[in-house]
Amino acid sequence: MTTRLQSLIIGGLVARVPIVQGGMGVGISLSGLAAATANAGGIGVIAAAGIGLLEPDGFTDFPGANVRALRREIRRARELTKGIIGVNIMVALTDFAALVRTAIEEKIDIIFAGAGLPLSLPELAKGATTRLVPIVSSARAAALIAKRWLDKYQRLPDAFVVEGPKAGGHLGYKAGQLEDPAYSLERIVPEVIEALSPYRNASGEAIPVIAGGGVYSGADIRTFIEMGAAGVQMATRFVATDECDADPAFKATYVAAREEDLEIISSPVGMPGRAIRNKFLDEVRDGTRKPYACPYHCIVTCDVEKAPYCISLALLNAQRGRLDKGFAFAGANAGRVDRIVPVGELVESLVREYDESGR
Amino acid sequence: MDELYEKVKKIIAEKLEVEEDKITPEASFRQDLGADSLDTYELVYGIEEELGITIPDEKANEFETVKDAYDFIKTQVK
Ligand SMILES: Cc1cc2nc3c(=O)[nH]c(=O)nc-3n(C[C@H](O)[C@H](O)[C@H](O)COP(=O)(O)O)c2cc1C
Repeated sequence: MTTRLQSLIIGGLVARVPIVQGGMGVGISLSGLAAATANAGGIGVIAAAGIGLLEPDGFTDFPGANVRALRREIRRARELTKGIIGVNIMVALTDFAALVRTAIEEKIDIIFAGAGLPLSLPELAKGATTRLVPIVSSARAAALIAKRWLDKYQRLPDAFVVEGPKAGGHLGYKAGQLEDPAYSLERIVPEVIEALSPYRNASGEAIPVIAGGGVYSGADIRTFIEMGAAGVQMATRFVATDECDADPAFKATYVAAREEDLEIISSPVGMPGRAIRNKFLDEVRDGTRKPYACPYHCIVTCDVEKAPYCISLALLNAQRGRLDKGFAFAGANAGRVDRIVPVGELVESLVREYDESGR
Repeated sequence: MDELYEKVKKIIAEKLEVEEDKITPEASFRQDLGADSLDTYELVYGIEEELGITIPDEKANEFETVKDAYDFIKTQVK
């Protein structure tokens, strides 16, 4: 096949380049990275998780600071780009509803909602033009959400992101499934497309499916487009950019990491996660970390009593470059990252690789 | 138990693909009937459809045992 890369259309919004920059929590993807991606023709995404922790009162007024910081980052992104901007809001956040309402008040283009089933999201978004995109890890979850939204709210998701087991951050799989080929992204994407095939949007089109988790090169993008995906979601590659909102020391861990440095952790929030191994994580595993006082119960499923560390605080420290007091989440391919480039250059090279891979 | 219980039991057996005789009032959805969180929602939606009632999503996660679900359903059915 020699077709060129097509644009990605989500509820009438057209992204020239069908690449969604995956939302990256605790301050890794804010207005800077999101706007740069949107300017390059893709979809830029601000992550809402722990966003208020970067505020001076982040620990004393956690919910208030979250809402304020999210509002400000959306406005900042709008000043920097006319492209498409989304927010990523994890369903498991205790202030999920307040963050969704804030994003809608700010007329965000798209809400991406994963880490849980966003079954009642349409209720919160009633009357708004914001496009709603659930992030799922299985065809069953996709079908369940589509059916429920249609039955209860007479609407369908504007797209789905399917996140496979090679993604970074928290993973929607059991640890034992991560290496099982039955759960690979290449297997799940066609299953999700099939499960959604009975559903058509208002213009009679199929719901676009966006594949994420381990997508690294333009050739990888082609693999999923040829399977029927409408686009891809990528995060790890976007960390290694000048515009990524994390401290240079955070990005440097990606450049330094080799394949064997990536490990699966069992996060205090009850899900597995993928991260770059370091001394902090070794101490957690060896049980030598001291207990801490939880400042705010931010994630519904977090077992505050038993957690050996605060995940939000650890991720915030890493974002600020304090990797002795935290760790970096990363996708399975982070070991392949060897330098930091501008977002524009990354996106251009992916498009070029895509075109070349079809020859 | 009554007719409603028998109906609920049938739906559980069908949605969770388990033998009806495994479904006792004390049976735990997760431990004894092997339900994961997706199963729980599919089950709750199945019950809503067949019995014409509404069960809030938060409730779906609170049902530990068959009896918990049945007790709540009973308050909703007219
Ligand atoms: C540092 C980091 C933080 C992440 N934070 C979030 C998050 O807050 N919410 C979310 O839904 N996904 C999060 N993810 C997942 C990404 O959005 C994305 O789906 C995934 O990493 C894609 O795989 P890739 O990194 O191999 O491209 C995170 C990933 C990374 C690497």
